[in-house]
Amino acid sequence: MKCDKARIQLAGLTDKALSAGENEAVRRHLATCDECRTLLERLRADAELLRQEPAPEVPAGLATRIMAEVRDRSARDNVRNPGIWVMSLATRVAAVVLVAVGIWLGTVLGRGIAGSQPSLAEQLAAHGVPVAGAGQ
Amino acid sequence: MSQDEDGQLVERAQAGDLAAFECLVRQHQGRLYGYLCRVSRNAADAEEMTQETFVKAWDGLAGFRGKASFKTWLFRIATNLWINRFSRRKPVEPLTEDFSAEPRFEPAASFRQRALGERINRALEGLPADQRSALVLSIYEELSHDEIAAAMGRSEASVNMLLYRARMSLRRSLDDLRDEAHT
Repeated sequence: MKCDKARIQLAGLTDKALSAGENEAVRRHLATCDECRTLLERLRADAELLRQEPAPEVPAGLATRIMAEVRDRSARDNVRNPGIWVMSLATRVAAVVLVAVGIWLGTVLGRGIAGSQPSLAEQLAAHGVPVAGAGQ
Repeated sequence: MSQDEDGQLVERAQAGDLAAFECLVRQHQGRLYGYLCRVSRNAADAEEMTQETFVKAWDGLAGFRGKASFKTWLFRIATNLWINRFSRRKPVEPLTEDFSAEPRFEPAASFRQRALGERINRALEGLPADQRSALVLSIYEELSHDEIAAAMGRSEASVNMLLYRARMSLRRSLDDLRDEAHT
């Protein structure tokens, strides 16, 4: 492995992000290259320096402010689409009820019409229209 | 909090449970705010972007399918916000704000911390937004390269190259600053 390629892999080596094969190849190069070994030490020292900076403290009440905005948006969405879930559930229930009522009415009225009214063949025969099989 | 616990809270939040979402906010706000402070080097910007990230997360929660962890998804939203904001930003004076809300150090330590903060500010300032993000996610957040790739919407090979460039630029800046300090 040449220095150019090894240097690109040094960040991966520092972060333990290399595959076993890549790791082995970089380590073999480092064993023979003082310059790249020195660079690796410096990169590690730079990372250590950055880590010395204390973690930023979360401003007091940040979560409360975030949740106030989330609640506000949630409430506004509910006003724009009032009870979207309830409405869609109610719509679905209403559709099922309507279909059921339609089927029931169709069945009942169908039976009633079939039971009380003469058939088409009987009506035609009553008006003197000859219909095969009517009145037999 | 484990990814499983996050997953359960996310499912409850997706069903509209605000208390579950609040648990997620309290759990992740520290890392997210820390990340945004470190890339932007500005506490007020970081606070605003943290708030915006969680609001966007709430708005987009229905679309979260759990392919990446919730944490990585938050970093993705935050990184997009930061990079967009950085690209619109006009050059400003270097920021030397001390991140700590209250002074916690003895005067000598505080002076050293400020000097260190100033040095890091100046070193990071020279980096483009994407390199800065990759470096902070790697060094401070200790994300793996594939997690960084997911958080930045990049391939792992592209993240390796970003980190290589970022670390070499940082190396040069820190050397320059050390030379300045010694002259």
